[in-house]
Amino acid sequence: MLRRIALLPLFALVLVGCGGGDEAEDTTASDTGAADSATDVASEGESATEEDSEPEAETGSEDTGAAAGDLGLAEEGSILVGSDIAFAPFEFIGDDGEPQGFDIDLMTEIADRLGVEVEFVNTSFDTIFTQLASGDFDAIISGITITEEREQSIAFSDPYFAANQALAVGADSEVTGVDGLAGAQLAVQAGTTGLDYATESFTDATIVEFPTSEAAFGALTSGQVDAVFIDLPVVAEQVESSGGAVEQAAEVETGELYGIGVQQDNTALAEAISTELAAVIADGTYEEIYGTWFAGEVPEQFAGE
Amino acid sequence: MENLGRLFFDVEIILDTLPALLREGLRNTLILSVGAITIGLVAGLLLALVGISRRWWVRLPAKVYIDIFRGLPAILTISLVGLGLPAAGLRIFGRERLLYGMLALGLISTAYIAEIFRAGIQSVDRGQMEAARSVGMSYLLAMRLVIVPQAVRRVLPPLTNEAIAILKDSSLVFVVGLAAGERELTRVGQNIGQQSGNFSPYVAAGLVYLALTIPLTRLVNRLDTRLREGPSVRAAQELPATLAQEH
Amino acid sequence: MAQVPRVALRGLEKRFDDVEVLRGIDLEIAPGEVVCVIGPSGSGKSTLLRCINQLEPCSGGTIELDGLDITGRKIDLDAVRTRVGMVFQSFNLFPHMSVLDNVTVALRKVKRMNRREAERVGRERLAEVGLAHRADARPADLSGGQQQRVAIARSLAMDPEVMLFDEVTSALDPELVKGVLDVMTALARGGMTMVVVTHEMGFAREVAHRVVFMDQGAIVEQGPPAALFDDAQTPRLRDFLGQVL
Repeated sequence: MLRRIALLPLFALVLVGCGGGDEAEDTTASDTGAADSATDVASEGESATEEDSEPEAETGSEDTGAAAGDLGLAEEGSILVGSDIAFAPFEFIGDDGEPQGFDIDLMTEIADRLGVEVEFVNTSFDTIFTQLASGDFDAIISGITITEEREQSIAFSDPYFAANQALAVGADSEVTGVDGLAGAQLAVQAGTTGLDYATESFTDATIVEFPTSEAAFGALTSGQVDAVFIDLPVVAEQVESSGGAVEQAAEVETGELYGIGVQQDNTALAEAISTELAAVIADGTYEEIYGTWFAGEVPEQFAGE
Repeated sequence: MENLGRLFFDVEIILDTLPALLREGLRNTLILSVGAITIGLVAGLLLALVGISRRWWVRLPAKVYIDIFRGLPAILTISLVGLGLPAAGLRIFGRERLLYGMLALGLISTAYIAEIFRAGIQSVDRGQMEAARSVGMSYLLAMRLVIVPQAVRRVLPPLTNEAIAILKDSSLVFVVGLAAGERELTRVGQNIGQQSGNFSPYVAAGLVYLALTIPLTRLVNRLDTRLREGPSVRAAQELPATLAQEH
Repeated sequence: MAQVPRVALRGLEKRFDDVEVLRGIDLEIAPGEVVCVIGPSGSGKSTLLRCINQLEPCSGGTIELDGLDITGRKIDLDAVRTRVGMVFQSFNLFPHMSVLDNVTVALRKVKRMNRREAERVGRERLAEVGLAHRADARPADLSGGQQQRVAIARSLAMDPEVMLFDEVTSALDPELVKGVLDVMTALARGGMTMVVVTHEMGFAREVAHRVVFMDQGAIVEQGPPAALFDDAQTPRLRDFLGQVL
């Protein structure tokens, strides 16, 4: 059993590592198929092992073999991923009750390539870091910006997303940009970099902290706050789904990069994830997933080769 | 083991957290709790009186109210009041978020305190009401002067428990969104804790809670004992002398 | 009866669910008259008493206080009860108040007397029952007999027209009974109209103007004490006396 699991990623890597062309595209298609339902991840990979192929020495098999077998997971063969599943379009609960979103799809894809099952655990953004540190999860993906402060307690994979912050206001708002925030009540989500930025930069405004982005936008539409300051994709999503009730007033470039978090000493897992991420980007899978959830061009640093 | 100490009981972090806890957290926790308990005492007493009416159609609304607000989890009630009311256009407190929280907690404590008072009132001997009515007191006057004062003395322990419960439930108010300066103890502890990934700020917040609840319990225990045992202690000492006077 | 009776019960009936406790009682009590009501337990004696001040509403019949029908619909019962004093078997003093406050609270809160005037009256009444020196004590500090005397003073303070006594010595230790009976005797001699439900036959013989014997919800026999105790007419009364004397 163990041997088979160890062989999975090698097999997948071989297929991917063989570069573009039909074979890779077949794999891509089947993999994005698997990405649609988070729970069915393992089946694709496992059916591949029916062929008991020998590992090929092309892609540094010894290193990846060691990494695959020793990812420091709490439970062998399964990666437990914590996420605050209330941050559309990165992660949110769909109509069927299952987690959906960009982060969900990406993480599922990466787990698939690592040869492990993925299980998402819904948690509060407030506590997600401390929970990771205490071992409740193997990894966390939740629109988390890589910051020096956070790097002091957890380790990050390579960046997987570039985000800016944005200012959202109500339809008839007088606030037209970040200069108009003096004396306003500004909603932010607890524990986010948006909160940190707003606290530092918008000193004339009253910063009101909400546990979820949904609560923050709820306060905006009910008139309890004047604006919301939060990640750009989230604002874009809200603008689209609000039917005109929410408008974007400004975009603030903060050069933020999202990363997948792992326990600080689990460099093996961080590296493995980063490796698979690079592969996902390289073969264009990233671009496809991006296209599912965001309008516009995928940023160049995440475009395929 | 040493790691546990650093993770939960880092003295330096605890001391660093205390100023914010005391200045902001404690202040708001007390505003929420004392406000809610006051609402509960007043409205709860009224509701208790309604609840012991002889007419079933008067009792029914009280019963329904108590069933609802004792049956819902506090976080749900707080969300419905603090997020739901404004969303429905009922911005009764404008943007004073703490007041929504206080109202929600007040609605909850009213239900529990009404039951406490009802039990206390009904535990007072029927003869007390009869004696009060026999000297010409109206029902309400008898309640005010004779029954309720006795009932209250009897229910001090459950009332204290309720006060402690409200104090702890005040930690759930963060769901309505809090600005800097509005945060109660748990929120302050959480914010500081999540920045550092250390749990000592949580422990620090917990210590402040205990500093409130433990003395409160002790105080009421002493009060309760004194109210109940005081007079009879004196009686036991004086009785022989009075008996002599009888003859 | 030439003058208006102080208390008149006419066809008084009382039902608890299906049980008939009072079956048509007719009784007139003159001003200043002391009537003792005796009988076995369950005979309805206490219920009769409690109907007089409407602690129990009647199922049928009427009750008149100085000619006023107090069973009428628009009667202010609270006001009526200031004219009828009641003393209970279990005293029912207010434990959270001092003795003096027990006696004066109704004066101050119902009759709206100012505190000084009320306390003057209160201390007078307490003196009459021999407890002026315990005015500041708490009920729990007193013996049963003392508490009962305070209860009497509490009722007297309201200056009632008639006093009702519901087995007021039954819960007392024997050595304390006399103290209370002495107070009641003094009260009777002073001309108070009294209705006394009691087992104290000695008191009934000595103090009552009339003794009423009740059994199973009806008045069976009534008359002056000597007639009833020494020359009982009905077998039921003879049986009863045979058991208690």
